Amino acid sequence: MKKIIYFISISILLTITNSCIEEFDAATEEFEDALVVEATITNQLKYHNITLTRTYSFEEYEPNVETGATITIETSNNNTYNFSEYTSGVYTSTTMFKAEPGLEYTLSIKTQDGKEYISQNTQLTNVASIDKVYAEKVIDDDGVEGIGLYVDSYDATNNSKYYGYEFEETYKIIAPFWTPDDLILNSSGGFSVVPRSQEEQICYNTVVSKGRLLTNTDLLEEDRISKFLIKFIPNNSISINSRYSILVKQYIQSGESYNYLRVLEEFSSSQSLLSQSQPGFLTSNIYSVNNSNEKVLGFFEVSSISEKRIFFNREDVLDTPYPWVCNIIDPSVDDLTTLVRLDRVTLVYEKPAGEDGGPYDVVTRICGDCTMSGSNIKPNFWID
Amino acid sequence: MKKHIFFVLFFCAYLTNAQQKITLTYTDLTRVEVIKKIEEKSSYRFYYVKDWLKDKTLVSGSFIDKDLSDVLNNLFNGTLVNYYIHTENKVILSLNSVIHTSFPNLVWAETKEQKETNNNQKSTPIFYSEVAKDKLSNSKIIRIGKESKNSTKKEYTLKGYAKNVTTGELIPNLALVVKNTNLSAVTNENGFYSIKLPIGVNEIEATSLGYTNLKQTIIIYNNGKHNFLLKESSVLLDELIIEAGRDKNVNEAITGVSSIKIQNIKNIPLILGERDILKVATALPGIKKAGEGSAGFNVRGGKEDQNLILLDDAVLYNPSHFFGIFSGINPFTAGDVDIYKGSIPSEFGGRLSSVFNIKTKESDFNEFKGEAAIGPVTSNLALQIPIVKEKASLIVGGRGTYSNWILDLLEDENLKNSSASFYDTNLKYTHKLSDNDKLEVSGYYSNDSFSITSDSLQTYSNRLLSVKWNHKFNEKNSGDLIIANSEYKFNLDFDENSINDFELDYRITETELKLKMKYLANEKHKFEYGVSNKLFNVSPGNIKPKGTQSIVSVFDTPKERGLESALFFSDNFKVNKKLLLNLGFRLSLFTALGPSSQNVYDPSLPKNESSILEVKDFGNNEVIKTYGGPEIRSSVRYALTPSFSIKAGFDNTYQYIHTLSNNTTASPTDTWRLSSLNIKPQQANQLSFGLFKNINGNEYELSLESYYKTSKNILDYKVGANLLLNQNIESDILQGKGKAYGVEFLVKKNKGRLNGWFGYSYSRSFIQLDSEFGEERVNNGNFFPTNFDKPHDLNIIANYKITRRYSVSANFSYQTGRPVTYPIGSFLLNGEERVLYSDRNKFRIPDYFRLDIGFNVEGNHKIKKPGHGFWNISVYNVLGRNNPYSVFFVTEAGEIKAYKSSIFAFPIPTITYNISF
Repeated sequence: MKKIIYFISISILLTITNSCIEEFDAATEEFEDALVVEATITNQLKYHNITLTRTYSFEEYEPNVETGATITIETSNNNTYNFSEYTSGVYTSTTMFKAEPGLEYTLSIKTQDGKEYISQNTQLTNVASIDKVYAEKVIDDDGVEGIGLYVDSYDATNNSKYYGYEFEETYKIIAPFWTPDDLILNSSGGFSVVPRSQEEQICYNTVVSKGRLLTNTDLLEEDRISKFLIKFIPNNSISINSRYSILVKQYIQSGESYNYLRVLEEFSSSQSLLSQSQPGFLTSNIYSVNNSNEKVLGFFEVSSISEKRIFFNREDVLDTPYPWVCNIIDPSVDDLTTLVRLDRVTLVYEKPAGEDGGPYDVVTRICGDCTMSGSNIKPNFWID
Repeated sequence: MKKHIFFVLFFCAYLTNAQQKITLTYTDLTRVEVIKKIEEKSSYRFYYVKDWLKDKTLVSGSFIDKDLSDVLNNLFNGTLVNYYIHTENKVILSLNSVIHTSFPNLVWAETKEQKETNNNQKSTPIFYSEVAKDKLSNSKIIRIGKESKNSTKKEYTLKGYAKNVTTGELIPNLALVVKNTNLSAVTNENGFYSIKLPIGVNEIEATSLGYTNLKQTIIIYNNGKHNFLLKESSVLLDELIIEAGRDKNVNEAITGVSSIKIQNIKNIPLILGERDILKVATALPGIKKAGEGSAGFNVRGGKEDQNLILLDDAVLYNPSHFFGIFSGINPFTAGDVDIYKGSIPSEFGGRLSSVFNIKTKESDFNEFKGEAAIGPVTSNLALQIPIVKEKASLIVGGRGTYSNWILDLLEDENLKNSSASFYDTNLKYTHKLSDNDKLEVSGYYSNDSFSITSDSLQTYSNRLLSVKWNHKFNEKNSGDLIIANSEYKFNLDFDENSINDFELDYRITETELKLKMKYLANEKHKFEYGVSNKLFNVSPGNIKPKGTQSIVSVFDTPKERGLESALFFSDNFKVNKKLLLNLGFRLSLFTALGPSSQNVYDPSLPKNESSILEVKDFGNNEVIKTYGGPEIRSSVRYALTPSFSIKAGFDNTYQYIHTLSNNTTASPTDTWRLSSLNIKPQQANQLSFGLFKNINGNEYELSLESYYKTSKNILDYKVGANLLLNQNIESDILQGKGKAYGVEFLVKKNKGRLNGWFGYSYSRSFIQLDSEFGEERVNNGNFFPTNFDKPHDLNIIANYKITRRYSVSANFSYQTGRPVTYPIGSFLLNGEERVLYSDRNKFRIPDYFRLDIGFNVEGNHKIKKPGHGFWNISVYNVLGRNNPYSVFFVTEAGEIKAYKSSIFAFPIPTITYNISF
């Protein structure tokens, strides 16, 4: 009898736990078109950008841009910064400027169809700089070894509280089976070995982060960010094949802008099965002047920014070399013709006549040509 | 044709005057000895049955030269014996009856009923007409009281107790029905009854669930006492009935009441082996849950926090385990539940929508008893322990889960790290201090702990304690003095070995002192009145660092205190046979007490940090704000026929305590907060109307009820509100109007092989959150459906008895899908795709339906066996329908994905074994 109970209980639990959540194809049942404003002004002296887009339905892949709008930012000391649209939907300030503490900034937008929008008055947040960005070898929750990238920050004045992080990763790629020569098909249908026409041994790739990572020190005794995980890179990621650099941008946010982004994130991250937070429209600090019920998305923020870049080599952190997956093969002439025509392989070795197999040893292109995974132009900031 | 046997004796009057004078002194003799003495001293001879004088009371007396009648009057004073002095010095004694000296002007045939025409007569003699016994009534004839020659009353009061003949246990809710009349009575919770009966022969039928019916012929001569001794039915309660007192549904004035007896839900299909009285409640029209995994109930369109759940008079803040999948009420120790969803008796207050009044069973006073169950997820044990025979006893119960080992067996990494367990224990001690005093002490403790991720642990617990002293002052006045204390707390531990590790606590305690008096003034008026005082202490959130490296600062959200006081009064006023009024009134008052700091906001601006004008500080016990008002709780019943009545009711209620939750459904971490300077009490008015009809006794009970409810200051929240550890909570709170209406239809079949019920309700529930400020408006300030607005709700519960031992049962449930807020578009922000949501609750998840079946096997009915076993095999959700509970949208790698979740998407078989001993 006991056995039966055990058996049944297990089957029950399996059924409960296996089938709770399933993906389904959501369709937009009713679409609502609204203006989306992306406006972050910082204390960096530069041409600032403001992006205007519209909401889009699930069936579309990207937003429509809002073109032809007039955008200005006014300050409490009667400065006005005008923006003009250089690329469609992206409005750039006509002069360089930086946000100053103690001043109030107000954003005004007038769209092509005559609708007006205005933001609440906003001040520059407290300025605090990043202490340290560093990399450590870690094993994540799934047991994968890799590199954790962390940030430390500390504000002795205890005024920063709300932190947002964005970052840009740049990494060097060294193709392990690069040779000076390449294999091409000549006009007579045979193979020719020719020197490579461009740099294909060392390349660089830059990836800009999406979204903003949020953390706060509300509950802490000190305004201290300690070992905040910016990114985890598994050890088989190409980004840490040789040398890696990350530029971390730290925004000190206002409580309101922080909360706006936090709630949006909460609405679009995994929810507890049993309790779901109430989603809905989140009020922004930008309003429609004409119709108080019109929805406006996005937030006008005037945030201080602090940046820090670090470089490191793979071997500085990890003990194992990058596990390139490169199979050197010597296909038959026919097969090789197809592979070369499709640019799938690069030359490793031209075999002396009389050896078995095909005439050339070749390797998957990614192992011999770095332009497959990056650009062959070295960025200005790069330090080897 | 009934055979009448008359043994009225009649004699000539003149003979009684010639008496011998008697001189007699006796001390400490039995009456039989006195009679012997009289016989020695005189020529009188006595004729009687020895049994009548078997009473061994000793009497004393001294008579010098007195008439025999004086001596005998004295001798038989206080007994049921009458005498008649015949000529020839014969004295005939009789029990109860008076031997009449003249023959009344009655025709023989009329003796069966006492005719009104006799009311001029000094006394109506009672002719004992023994009705030919029908075969069921094997009982003797019972004579009550001593007939009095001088009485003019035509009605006398019979009272007493109903008792279990074997255990001596008192039987509440026993219906006493007088055949061929409209008279009936029901024993109260202490098994006591009182009924006015016409003099003469009354045939009384006593019926109660679980006992064999008893028919007794009672001859009423005078006021008297009689205890009904009933035998338990050989099969314990095998019907599936919701009932209290026969025809109570039709006869009571109040509307919107449901009673559930735990014993009667034994055969309903189970989920994971748990019999659940509160889940059965949700199968009744008007009581709903937002979803399978949501804690709390929505009664007649009210929020989850608007229900007063009382366990032995103490408030149970969270009546559920494991997010509402299991109930916190132990089915082995629970007795009855009365659910008031329409007219709420004036003694209860402080919540808008309903009262769930749960009583723990009274333990057996004479015999040790136990009950145990083994299920796949939980086990349960309850014991009834007599402490002092007939006087004091204790019932204890305990339940626990052992589900963790199952989670450990699973391969999924996340589930391996998660755990969930709960237990609860309760006890009730009853002591009959005297015939008029009874003391009850109850205690309850429940604890839940679960961790969804490996680095966090959540626990919550309820603790209840109550003491009730019931005192009967006299026949008409009785009272209850109640002291109850409850505590609810939860705790969140976060431990990932970082500087952010913390421990967060929430706690609410309340202590109530209540005096409730009953005064049964007369046939027409029954009064209840009293006073209650309740002190709340809330500590809305404390956080402290956990571990040595944590730099989390200690933070206490300021504590809240409040006092809720009430005076209540009600009169159950029987205007006439047809019209019954229940006039109730409650005056409630809430005082928010310091110490506290309260923000004063600029009324011309939306409430937020920048619109604070000043911060007012209040000292210890200083009054911050007082709210309150009169609450009317009245209803009326008009009986069209004895089994068909119409009822109407009007009720209003105040609620001073609120839960804060920014989830779509209730969860254990919702915090209760008190009304304050900036949070107003919630208020509701309900108008209800109902038709009630019983067919064939109460074999079928039909009811059709409707209600219309408006409420104000219902709490809701701004989107994305942060409710925990928020010092300016009022700036995230919105208070709005509510509106709910509905029609509820219920048919119950209480008897027969097939029994159960069919319930359907159509109901709507709306809320409006409007303000002059855009950020305090939801859905443009229009009414919108609440999260639990499920218009169609249909439930069928059926149980079919195949034989005495085998029965099958089924449970079908259908509901409109609940409203959800659905994405209506995407947008891109900082390079990430986000969703724009519709107006709140504009869409609905698919409709919910579910069928469960159960098969029950009772143990054999041999008398000599160690215990009585009971098997239940249930399959929950036989159709395997995937009923979505919620939908949500996740941004994964910059793209939106839609998910729907369900709690029990597959058929879930369970087998449970119960044993009672």
